[in-house]
Amino acid sequence: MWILSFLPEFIIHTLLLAGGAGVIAGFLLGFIPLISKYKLPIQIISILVLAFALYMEGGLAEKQKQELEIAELKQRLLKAEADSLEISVKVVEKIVTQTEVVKEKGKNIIKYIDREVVKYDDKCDIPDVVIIAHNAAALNQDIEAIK
Amino acid sequence: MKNILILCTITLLMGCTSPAPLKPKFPAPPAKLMEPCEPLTTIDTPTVLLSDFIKVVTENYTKHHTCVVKYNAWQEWYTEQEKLYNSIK
Repeated sequence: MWILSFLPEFIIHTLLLAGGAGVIAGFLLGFIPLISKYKLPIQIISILVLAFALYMEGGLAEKQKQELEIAELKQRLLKAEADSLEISVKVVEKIVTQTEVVKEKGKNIIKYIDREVVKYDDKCDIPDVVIIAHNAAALNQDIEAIK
Repeated sequence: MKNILILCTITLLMGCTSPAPLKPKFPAPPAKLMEPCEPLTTIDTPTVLLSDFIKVVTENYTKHHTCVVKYNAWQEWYTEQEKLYNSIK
């Protein structure tokens, strides 16, 4: 309720008490001369005030319930943000670690090539068509574009 | 009578509310996941030794495997974040 944003709570509680007191006075204390004089207006006004105050009390209770839910949701969001950050950090660490492993294995293979494959350099000529095919595959282009 | 009707309408409208909903925001991916894969190496000389040729192939396979690591990491990151996002909504 928009009215609850500027109406202090104590006014609503006061209205409830006043309405309740007015109903009791109007219906049960009619024998008192001052009250009996204005019995009907007191009854009508106090019923209206009580009804309005009960309506506002309901709105207040709903507002408090919503505020609790919002606070709980904010907590869950904060926790989710922290979990999300943790996931990102974990994934980045995994990329770095696994990339290092891949590159290390590549280096080991290069060492093997330098040790074993070089022995066959003079025994095996690589024709230029092999180079063209290799480059076309590496660039994902047509052979004609590479020639 | 008209004033009473106006008062009743205002009283009923007091119940109108427009709560501001809290929506979770899907996170931006880390910079490491946004790095593009390295382009493959070509052989730029008309002749090449067998060992050099195999080295270029090895280098390209290494680049491919590095790209696979990033791709798998992307899938893992997105799956985990989506699970988290859906648990809050």
